[in-house]
Amino acid sequence: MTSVEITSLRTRRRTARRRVLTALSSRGEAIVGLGILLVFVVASVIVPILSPYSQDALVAAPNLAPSAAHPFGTDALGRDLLVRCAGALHTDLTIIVLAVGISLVVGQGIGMLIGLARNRVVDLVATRLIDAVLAIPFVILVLTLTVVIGNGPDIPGLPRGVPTILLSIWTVGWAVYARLGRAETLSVRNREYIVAASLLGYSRRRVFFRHMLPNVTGASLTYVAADAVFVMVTTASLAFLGTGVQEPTPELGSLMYQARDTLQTAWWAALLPGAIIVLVGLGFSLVADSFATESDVRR
Amino acid sequence: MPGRNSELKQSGQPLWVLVVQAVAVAFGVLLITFLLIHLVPGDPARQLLGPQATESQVAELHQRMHLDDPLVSQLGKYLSGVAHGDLGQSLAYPGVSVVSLVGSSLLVTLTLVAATIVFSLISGAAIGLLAAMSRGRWLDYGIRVSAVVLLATPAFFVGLVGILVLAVQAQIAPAGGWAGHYPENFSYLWLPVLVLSAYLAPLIARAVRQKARDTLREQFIEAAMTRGLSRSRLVLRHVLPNSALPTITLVGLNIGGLIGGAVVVEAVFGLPGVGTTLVNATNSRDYPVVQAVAIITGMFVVFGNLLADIAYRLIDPRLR
Repeated sequence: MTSVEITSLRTRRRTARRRVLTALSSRGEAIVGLGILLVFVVASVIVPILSPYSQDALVAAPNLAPSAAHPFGTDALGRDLLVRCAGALHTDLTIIVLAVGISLVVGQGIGMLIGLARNRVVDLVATRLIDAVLAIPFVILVLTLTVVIGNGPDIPGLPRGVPTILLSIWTVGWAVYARLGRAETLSVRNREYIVAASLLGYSRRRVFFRHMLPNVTGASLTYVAADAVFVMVTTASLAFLGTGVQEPTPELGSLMYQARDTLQTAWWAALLPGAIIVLVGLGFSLVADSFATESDVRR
Repeated sequence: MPGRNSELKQSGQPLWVLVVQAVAVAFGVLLITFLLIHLVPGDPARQLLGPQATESQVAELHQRMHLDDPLVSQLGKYLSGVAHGDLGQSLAYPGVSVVSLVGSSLLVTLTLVAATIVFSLISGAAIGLLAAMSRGRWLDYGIRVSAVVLLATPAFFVGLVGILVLAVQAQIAPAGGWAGHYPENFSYLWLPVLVLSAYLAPLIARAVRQKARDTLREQFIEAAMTRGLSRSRLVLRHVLPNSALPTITLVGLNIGGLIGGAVVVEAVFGLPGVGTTLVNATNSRDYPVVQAVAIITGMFVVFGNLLADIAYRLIDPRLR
């Protein structure tokens, strides 16, 4: 065999091995990510049940170090930090699920409508508007909206301040999904199976829901995990800046904000909630990356 | 990733089309900001006056702020104001124009962001190249893991850790504040830049490593090596320029995230930038200022992306 052939054989084997490793590692990534998320979701539910303290009660001296009685110590007012962190995690997860869920559904719907539009002008104007929404940094945009909305409606079941943040995120969060949905709809719209389905006489509703919808949601669903990280970081950042979720509702960012004055003496009060944010974000990121790798590998 | 589609589309389009598109989006930014503030539920006048306000006070403020005018005329006033460089008057500081309030803080933020970009490019490219060239898997793995972890870490957390470790314990950086003039400002700047780079540098390192790896595998590398080219020359003259190209696009795509992160970092370190102005305005419900910050940052993102696209064109000889 000439050297050229030997090289290509080695390269072929290398590429095949790389593909298997990528697929395996993406599966492993997903499992680790989901595992982390599961641990935290369960913790946010179980800890308040198991702990003798309530999240708002003043139970001990302020700024105590972690101990057997208070595994996370106490915050600046003397509340048990572990229970507060669990409550804060619960708040954040609720916000993430609601914010991302609605943004996904609304955004994907809008994207598909734009993608199906026959009018070129409508498409042009709509995409420029979406680009404009996406141009303004997310944190700044959501911050602007929280100023306007102010103290939002008090919805029973949701902690105070959460409706405002949710409304703010919903107003701009749909844009990414609209862009993704539109791109996929444009590419799928003229495919043979769609044309065939409508030629065969299937109703427009049936073509839309059974043939088109399942094939244009891939990119958006892949993005959901990454969006979860964004929403989590944005919510925490806004709480840290003093706006967003209000006292006494615990939120991971606002817990850190309250603890920043005692950073030197009671560093755990600021860093433990932060570590939770990082780990939960890590869980979402691993899931997000594994999805992205999967779709690349298939192509 | 959402950005990828636009990347591929834009390589084929002439330059003037990109400029026109950017201007259209910029106009969209103005429109969207206006619409968001005026269509979202909530009464800015009432927010400003507080819960103790009487109805007549609210009505009077409505009149002053032109909130009762038809939407279109409000939009017209607003757009003509912007065209004249007038973004309104601050409500919290009566008589102070928004432009003067925001303008002075803009320079600080721009310095922070620019320094972060430069630092991230240099450090990210260096780490990425090292990882691409190293035989061992550990540096590689380390980069991928740290990229994922740092992306999930909010900037203020890195900031707090940075303050705790470097400012308080090791005492090699001030814990915040600003000197007001150079060169003292640099000593206040380097920790915030480091903190903000924690988000961008791993992204750049990851992209550079990927591109460098791919480039090293190409045929012309083998050809160059058989010709006896030294390793360092090879890297500098062939691998580095190729790997640098995607970083331009990466920086362009992340300008929005950088500015958003800068807002938070400024709050943590007490830097007198746009972020601090925004937070103060938020707390005092000074919505003309908040609106102006949204517009200005949006403009920067749009034109930053445009600059990145133009730079990409100029540098990539294939597109000339």
